[in-house]
Amino acid sequence: MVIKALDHVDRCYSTADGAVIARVLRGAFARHQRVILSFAGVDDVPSSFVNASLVALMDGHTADWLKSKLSVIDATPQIADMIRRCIANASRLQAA
Amino acid sequence: MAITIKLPANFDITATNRFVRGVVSGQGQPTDSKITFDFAPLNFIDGSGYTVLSNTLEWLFNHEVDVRFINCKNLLRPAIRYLDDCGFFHQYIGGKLSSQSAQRPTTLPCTAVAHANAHGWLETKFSPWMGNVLGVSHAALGTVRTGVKELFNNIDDHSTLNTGFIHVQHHPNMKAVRISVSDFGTGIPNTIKARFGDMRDGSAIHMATLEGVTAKTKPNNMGAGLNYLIERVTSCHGKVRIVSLTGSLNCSRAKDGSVDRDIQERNGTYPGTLVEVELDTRLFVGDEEGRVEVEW
Repeated sequence: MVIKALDHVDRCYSTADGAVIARVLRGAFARHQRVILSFAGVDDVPSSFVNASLVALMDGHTADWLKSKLSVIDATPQIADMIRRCIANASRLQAA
Repeated sequence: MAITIKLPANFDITATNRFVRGVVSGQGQPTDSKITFDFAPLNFIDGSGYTVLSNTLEWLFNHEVDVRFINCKNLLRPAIRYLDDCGFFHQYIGGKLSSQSAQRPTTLPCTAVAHANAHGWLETKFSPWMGNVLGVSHAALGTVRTGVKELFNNIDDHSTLNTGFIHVQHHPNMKAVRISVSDFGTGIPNTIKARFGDMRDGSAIHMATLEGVTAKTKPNNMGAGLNYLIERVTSCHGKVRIVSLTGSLNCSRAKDGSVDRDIQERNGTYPGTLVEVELDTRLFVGDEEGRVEVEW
């Protein structure tokens, strides 16, 4: 199943925007083994958005679990870098 | 009672605490109900000084202080002409000093931007202007835009106010662009100390910039924004300077490629946060273009 971020939010900017995407992804995870998130049309994302949309899904789960459930496509290099950075950061905090 | 505050002769980031000390009491309130700003000493003002001045005035208006200006109309003085070209007097005394004044191509003048509007402002104003100065595309500026978004999200996450002031200045002779963002919020040290205990303000700012340090003021706040900004800017040989309460932190690229973080304590309290980002226009490297699948 492919979820296009901009079908659900006008922009990928704030914690509130991220919370909308997290809600959509949680629903999709309940129905599908694997979900694809597309950032088509999005140029860049800050950490608050990634923490609220993707890292929030790790509540009670590991980064490996999230990676097994989610693919991210149509990401600019900045978006890819920010997602990897935030998930790694969350993993460190989980381990501490 | 009424007091007169002389503007600094050289109003840049180093004058911030001294200037604000005359305006904001130790209890975080205006020092008087009537404050007159004397522009006579002002020889030079840069983007950070202008941002702090605007932010201070708005803060005083919010506290219903009667604010007046004196010695502010001498257009023979470059600092006054600069402020007039930026629209300062149009904003605060109701009209330009000179009919000839106009926005300079090297300036994106100080603007109050609410958090909710920052995204649109960055897309429609900041990015085209910055792309022109740096000679790169909108796509190549993703990391720079994100850095500024991190600052506005910090204002929204950690501050009692959700509006920041931003000013961008190109200095062609210095081969630099400076982005100044200021707010009169809680201040980084107060936010950090509320979670991690007492420490000096400069040390608290330093702590806030380390990867994974978070004040957790919102559930999904994981502490990555300032570190991201500093790493990305210094990797292009840029600099980041942060002033908050009595502390400051100057970040630059060390010879070995790591980030040099110089902590300082200042005399006087800046009640909020000022961040100055300096990009080297010769050494700036934009983002690669194109779309990828994220590799885990």
